[in-house]
Amino acid sequence: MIMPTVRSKDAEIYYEVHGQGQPFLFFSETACSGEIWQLYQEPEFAKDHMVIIHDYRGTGRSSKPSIDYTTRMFCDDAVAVLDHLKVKDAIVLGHSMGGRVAQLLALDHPERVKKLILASTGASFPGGAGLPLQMCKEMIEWGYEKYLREHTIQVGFTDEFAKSQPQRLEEFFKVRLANLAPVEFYLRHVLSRQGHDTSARLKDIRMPTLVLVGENEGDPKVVMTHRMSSDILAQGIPNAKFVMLPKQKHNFFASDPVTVHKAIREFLSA
Amino acid sequence: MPKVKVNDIEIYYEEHGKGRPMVFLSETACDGEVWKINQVEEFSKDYRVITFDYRGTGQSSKPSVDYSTKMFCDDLVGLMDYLNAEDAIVVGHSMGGRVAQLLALDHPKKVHKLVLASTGAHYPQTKGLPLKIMQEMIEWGYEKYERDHTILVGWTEDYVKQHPEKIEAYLKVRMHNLCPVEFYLRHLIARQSHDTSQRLKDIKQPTLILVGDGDQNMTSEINHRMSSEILVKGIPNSKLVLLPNERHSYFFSNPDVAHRAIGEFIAK
Repeated sequence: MIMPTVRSKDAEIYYEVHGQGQPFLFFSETACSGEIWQLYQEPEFAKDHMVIIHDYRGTGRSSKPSIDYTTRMFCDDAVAVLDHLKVKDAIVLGHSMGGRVAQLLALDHPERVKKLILASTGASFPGGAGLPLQMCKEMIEWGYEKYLREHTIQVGFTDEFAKSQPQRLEEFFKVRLANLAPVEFYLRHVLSRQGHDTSARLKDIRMPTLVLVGENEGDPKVVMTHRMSSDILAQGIPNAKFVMLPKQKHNFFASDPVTVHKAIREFLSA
Repeated sequence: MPKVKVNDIEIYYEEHGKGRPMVFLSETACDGEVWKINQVEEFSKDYRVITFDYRGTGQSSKPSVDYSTKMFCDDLVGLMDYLNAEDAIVVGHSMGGRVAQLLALDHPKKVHKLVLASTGAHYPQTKGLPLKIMQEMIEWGYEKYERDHTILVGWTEDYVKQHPEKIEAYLKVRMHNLCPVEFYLRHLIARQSHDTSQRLKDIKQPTLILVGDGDQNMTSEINHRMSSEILVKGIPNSKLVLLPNERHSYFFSNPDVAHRAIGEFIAK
């Protein structure tokens, strides 16, 4: 099998294209490869779009240079993919850290972004540069895989979903935990995320923007919850529409794809 | 058990011997017990040796708040006030040397002479938890990291082969009562954020700088050899003594050369 990759500076970026129509580019959460979109979103949107997924540097089948990463670098890698595919403009969807990269794409390459979807994300982590203590503590005490699993369940899914849909949860983890980025690159991704700040530039995001967040993403353990950071996005971006997904936490793309897809399609057809 | 309440927490301390106070400050997230392997016996003959456990370690309190070297220094000031210990010889090892610099700068009356062992004034680039250390702690687990990392930075390969019993004797003390991961990390953050690099010229006390000639492990952008050079250039009344064939942990295995250098420096 020929691996479709494109060269972006010092890295080979793996990408896949599914379907035809208006290009639709997806950005995953922290240290997560593009494969996660193949569970629900690629089958749905490839029906009538050219769905583009890719693996961030440091994840999946892309190369993993041991250098400092930034969301700017991830943005440049995605631009290389779009250039390679000769895509003029795309609908751009970013989840969590991916939403931060998507904001940079919208700000620095506005002609490439037709519409923007910012899902469970934010513009900055106030006072949060560097590796977070609580995360490191849990990763050290629990081990990497157990941390990722436990943490993802905790922030990603409601207790009700975890109890009533264990097989759906396992399907998600089968993809999420397969081909896990090495610890070094997980940490490099976290550092890039913590260092990201577009909070002073939100007013310059001009394209129609959909801000999505789960109703239950208000974990009071953290300084800035995704509920709070999504409010900041919706207030700061001039042409933004805010949709709260009832009874959902961080991984609603896997726990309630039907409702999410409906919200996205309504936004795209508006 | 001797504890004293300072800054709303309890600090565990010990005193051995009589004479001029001599305070020992441990490395990152390390309690005061390690000084009882060699230094307490040696220096309590002539001095009032004071050892203590940093907040977050040993038998001292472990509040879940952000730590800083200034906070460790304030805790020590509280302890020295309580003990009426002024004008002391202050020996700081590694992170303890950073705390000792703050004591000399902000409380000069408490410091008669300063010994800065295998330490530095700052980490110019890496603030916060260093990636390489976190990666190793996650991949290896906390205890294995502490053990393997301590051996790697502590002694030369030859020494490790020739004196395994010395290393095990040290690790027995160091690994006993290891502080919880949270506080190890809080200590690391405190260490990485410390910066006295612009204030070295204001350290007026006679200062002895000790470093192993092989103390060159790169955990981040600067090693102890390099940072000791910065100290000796920056501190006006300072002298550097390079310990041959040593890395980071000579105090606890092969202290004679270091003890002799300290003895001569104090006697002057």
